Amino acid sequence: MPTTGIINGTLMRLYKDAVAIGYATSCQMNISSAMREILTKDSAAGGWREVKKGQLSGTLSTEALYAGPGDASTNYLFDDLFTDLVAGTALTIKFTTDVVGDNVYTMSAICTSLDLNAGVEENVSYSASFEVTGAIVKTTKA
Amino acid sequence: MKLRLLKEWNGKPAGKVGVFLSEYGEQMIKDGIAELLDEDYVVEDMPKKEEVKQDPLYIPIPVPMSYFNDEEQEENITKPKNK
Repeated sequence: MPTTGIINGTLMRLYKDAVAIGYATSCQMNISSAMREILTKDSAAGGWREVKKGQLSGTLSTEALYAGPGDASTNYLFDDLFTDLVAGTALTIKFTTDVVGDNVYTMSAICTSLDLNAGVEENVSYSASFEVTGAIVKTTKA
Repeated sequence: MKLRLLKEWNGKPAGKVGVFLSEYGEQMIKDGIAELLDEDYVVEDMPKKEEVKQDPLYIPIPVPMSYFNDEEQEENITKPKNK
């Protein structure tokens, strides 16, 4: 049964293949459409800009707390993303609540940046950014 | 769902715990790779920051000796006036 009402953001998270990106505190997916200008001397728009849809693109980002190799977790962590970024590996990412009936956004994405932050008397945290390559496919979890 | 690995998986040793998509997790359980810990689990326990309670600081303020000259009279202030 799909989630009713407004979905709690805590439950919606990024999964690499089927494994959660660990210790995430926030996840974002951005989808945008570039516009191409079609204004010509023949247009009847009176000088106003006219556009049509161009390239579709997507980005992902997440912020998470950092845990090193000593962490007792199988989740996808900073070190895994580091390896992927260096190798330029395209990852299969799902953005979902994992609740039956809810949406699952599936895409292939390449990790483009990692920012590791270590403040005094603060949790070590990082942010990761991904560029989507190809289509973002929306399905419903069966 | 939250699973514990029973066998090495993707370079991660047995005994490690993680959050998996349910379809995939169910298959891992069937294949004997992992055991189920919590079916509805979505978010792992975040490492918590230890709260440090600071002791109150008492800072001695230097005062001249004359400050204590009228100390006895000051105590009289608390006594009722009309007696």
